[in-house]
Amino acid sequence: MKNFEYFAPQDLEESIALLDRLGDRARVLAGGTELINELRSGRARPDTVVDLKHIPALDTIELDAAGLKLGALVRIRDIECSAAIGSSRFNVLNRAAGTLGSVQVRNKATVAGNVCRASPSADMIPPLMALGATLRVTGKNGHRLVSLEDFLLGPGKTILRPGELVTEIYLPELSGNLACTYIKLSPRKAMDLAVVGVAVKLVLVPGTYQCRDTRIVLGAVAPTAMRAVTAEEVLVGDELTGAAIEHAAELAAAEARPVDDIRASAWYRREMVAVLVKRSLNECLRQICGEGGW
Amino acid sequence: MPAVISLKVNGERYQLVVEPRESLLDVLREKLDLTGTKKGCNEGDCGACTVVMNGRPVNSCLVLAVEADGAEILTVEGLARGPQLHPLQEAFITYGALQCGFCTPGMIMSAKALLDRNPDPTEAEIRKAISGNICRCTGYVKIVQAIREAAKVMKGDKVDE
Repeated sequence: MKNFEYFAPQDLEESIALLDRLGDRARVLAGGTELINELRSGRARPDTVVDLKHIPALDTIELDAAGLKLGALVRIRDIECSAAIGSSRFNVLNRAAGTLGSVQVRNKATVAGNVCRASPSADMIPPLMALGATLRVTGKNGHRLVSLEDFLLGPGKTILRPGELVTEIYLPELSGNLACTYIKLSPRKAMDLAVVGVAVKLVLVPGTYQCRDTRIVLGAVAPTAMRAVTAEEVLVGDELTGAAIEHAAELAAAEARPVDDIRASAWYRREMVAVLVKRSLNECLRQICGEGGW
Repeated sequence: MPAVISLKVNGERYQLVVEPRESLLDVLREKLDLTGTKKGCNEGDCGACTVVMNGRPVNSCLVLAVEADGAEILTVEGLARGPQLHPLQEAFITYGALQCGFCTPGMIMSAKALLDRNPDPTEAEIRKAISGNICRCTGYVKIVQAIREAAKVMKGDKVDE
């Protein structure tokens, strides 16, 4: 590994100033589960590594009537094991977190790290997107709020400029008859990237099977996690019959833009989008209505 | 530029001069002669380098030594009390849970961390807890059995023979 300077600033302003000054000669270190490998392989050759972990108050989980606030440095393992999140309507996050890597990796990896790494198959991104996540981006000129959809530009690319950090992730409070699921398709039960990841949020009009709102987010089948908007549009306002679910699943599969790679073929991924969207919608129905889906 | 770090390993305090690019794994093995922790893939995929850091099992190959400043580390060498092996170590021997032994320290540290937080795990919980530790030899059955039996001893349900 090429040697580098290591700084562990004790406050946010100092970190921002340092990162702004160093520009792309610096890399940010949070959990390090990606960066250390990049340093070791030479893919990353920064002069300086700035460790964020000594900045106070970036790793809190706050759940209240307004919604859920995740500090950037909240570890994946802490989301997985959070009793507060687990007993809230955001508990898809516990399950999604538990699919990432291994216990050891989850004990270091951070939620903002997963988002900022912007892997097309990231595990936290689809459920966060389904839940309507907004990111607080902090730079020397202050803060701005960016929706997760606008934040991601492509594989490994986000709107972050040098000197900017994601400091918090906001999820608005969830109300109504709803459920949210994340299904990760991978050959192994652990230590695998998603071949296809699907997160679905479904909101029903109370006492009916009519869809009030839905978000269908596909991971690992496009340069970034993506909303299957045509599938969403066809469901909103309509009754969730078996045929409607099948139709939405087909539309989602058609919208996906998968590629062939070492893990799976594009053809297989597209097939599996349809399967997983259907499975997800049925699971959401089951969770809301407590009975069998279609 | 080298840095001075202060950390506790297996209950003992150390002050070390390290380069930022050195991993905790390398520092444990090369500077502290604690070669029980193994370097397998050096990429965070195999778990052979698992240590318990501030109560959490982590891949020490993915931890920079400088990140361990102020930390408490437990390695496999820290489990036995003199000649008295830890129940996990005893169980791995008794139940034949190792062949080449290379995955074993990491496997035991993951198991230790599991039993510290969940003294009565189900088989599924055991398997999930060691899912970041690869074993090429045993097929995991004996490992899972050893962890289950060690848990009984540690809970006091069973006397260690």
